[in-house]
Amino acid sequence: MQRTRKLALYGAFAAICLLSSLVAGRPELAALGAPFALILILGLSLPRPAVPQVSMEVKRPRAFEGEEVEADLVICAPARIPTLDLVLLLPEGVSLVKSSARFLLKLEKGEERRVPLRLACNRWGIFRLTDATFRASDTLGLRSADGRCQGKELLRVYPKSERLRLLVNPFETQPFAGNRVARVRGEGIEFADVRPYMPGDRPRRINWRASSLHGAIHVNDQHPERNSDVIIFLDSFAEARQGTASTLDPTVRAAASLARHYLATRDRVGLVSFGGIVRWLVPSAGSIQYYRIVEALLETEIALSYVWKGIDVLPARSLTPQALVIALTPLLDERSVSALLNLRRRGFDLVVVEMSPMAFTRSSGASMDLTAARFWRLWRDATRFHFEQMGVAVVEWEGDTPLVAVVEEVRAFRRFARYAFG
Amino acid sequence: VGAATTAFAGALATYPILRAGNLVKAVVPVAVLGLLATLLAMLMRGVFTGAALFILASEYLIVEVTGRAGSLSIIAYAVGLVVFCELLLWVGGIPRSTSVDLSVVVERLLGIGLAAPAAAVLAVVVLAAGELGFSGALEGVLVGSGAAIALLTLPWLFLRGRGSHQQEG
Repeated sequence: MQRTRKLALYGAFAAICLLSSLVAGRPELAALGAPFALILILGLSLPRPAVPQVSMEVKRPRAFEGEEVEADLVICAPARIPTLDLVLLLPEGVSLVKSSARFLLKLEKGEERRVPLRLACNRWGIFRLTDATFRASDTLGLRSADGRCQGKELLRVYPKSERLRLLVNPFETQPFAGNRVARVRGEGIEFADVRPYMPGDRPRRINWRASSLHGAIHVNDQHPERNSDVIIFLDSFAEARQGTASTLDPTVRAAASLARHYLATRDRVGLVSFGGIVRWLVPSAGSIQYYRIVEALLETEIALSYVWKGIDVLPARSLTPQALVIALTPLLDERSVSALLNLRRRGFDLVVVEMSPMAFTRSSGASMDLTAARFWRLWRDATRFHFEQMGVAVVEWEGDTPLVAVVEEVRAFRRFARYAFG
Repeated sequence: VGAATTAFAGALATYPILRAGNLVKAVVPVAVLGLLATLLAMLMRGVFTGAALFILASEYLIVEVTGRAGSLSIIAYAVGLVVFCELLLWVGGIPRSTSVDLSVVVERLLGIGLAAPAAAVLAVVVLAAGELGFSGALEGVLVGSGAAIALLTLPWLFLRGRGSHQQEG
């Protein structure tokens, strides 16, 4: 319970007026100060303000970026609160739609007030919504109860995923059924070749036209439809940040988009968040896996660490053989660069999407700064060249162009790389 | 509310100037200071409310002590000061872009509406005690009681506040 400025002011004014009246012997001074004294006496004899209970009821605890969510701010008053000044402290990624975050309310004893709100989900993440500060004042505003509420209501905002018409096709497939045409021959739909009949071949696969032409029985070979494993490798060692924008935001959005589309093509998708805190999800298929990946992405954060980490810290199951590894990295940390090179040396099919930090750099214009920036850019070029020499597609992405352009660039490189290095 | 507060401040600052006579040169700077303090209080969420109140009261008292103010003007001025302070603190208490409940506004207006006649009645009672010639006894009792209450209120509040903090701890 706190005394307000009004109480001190009125008390001081009344006391000075009454004392001056007594000293000077002039009732006019007492007449000037008496109303203030009366307000003080009346105000202090009234009950103290109660402390409210504040909570938030979100209609939908999960949403995607850009969506709006309806919620009710619920305020319960155990006793009468003549004036409640409540400020809702919303996290950075959530804002109110056409509404103020500050409320001036009056609550009767036992009243439960519901204030309907519309929340705009501006950024992905897990947000706690009911943080609020309040000041409950008594009827005459002489005393107040200040406090802070910390709620437990969570809103999960999933990163919005981009529509991709094309995906990077893995070089190798897995033995499970899927939508991809395998490079190997076997039972399938896609025609592969014609070959002489071998004992054990099914009669329905005989190519009668080729058999009559060659004078011996020939059969058709097909490519089987298989799925593939895709590992999304998230570099969370470092990020480039300026204000609220960072390289991590488009990284997470790209990861969610890729996971969604690969899962839609019946591939198995896994996730490796490689940084100060290493997290992984073993590859799996289905829509449940998408939500697992997105939930894991929401917890992605840049944890500062100086500990050297190699890919040896990852369990073998998280990096399945013949998997396509799509690395989303700003190429800012030597540990992640080294881990990616190590993956390529171990034979993984690797694609590097470089989340360019160039837009976040600022130069003071000093010659030393310019020289350092030039060296840094040269180091990045050398790193990229090193990857390309190993047959790894490296595509620079600013985050503002569509992801499909990046995918197309990777596909073009891989077509070229197959001729050059294959 | 801001406009009403400014109007009240203007009226409270102007009345003593009108009655000041040859004391105008002394009263006008005080009035200007009072208005400035009022504007600052409105802009800075009530920080200068105390300054505005004391300056405007001082301005009136300069005129009143020298016998230039009207005999009943003290009642109007006391009421005016109370309403002015309530409005100024209200303006300072409501920040911009706040969703205000209508019942809060109604109750606050009702409070100010009741405070004004109560202040007037109390001022009349105090003045009547002086005018009726009870200056020796009744006025002394009234003023003495008021002073005693005012003097004891602050230590009492202080001790009560400490007690409640200790209980919470």
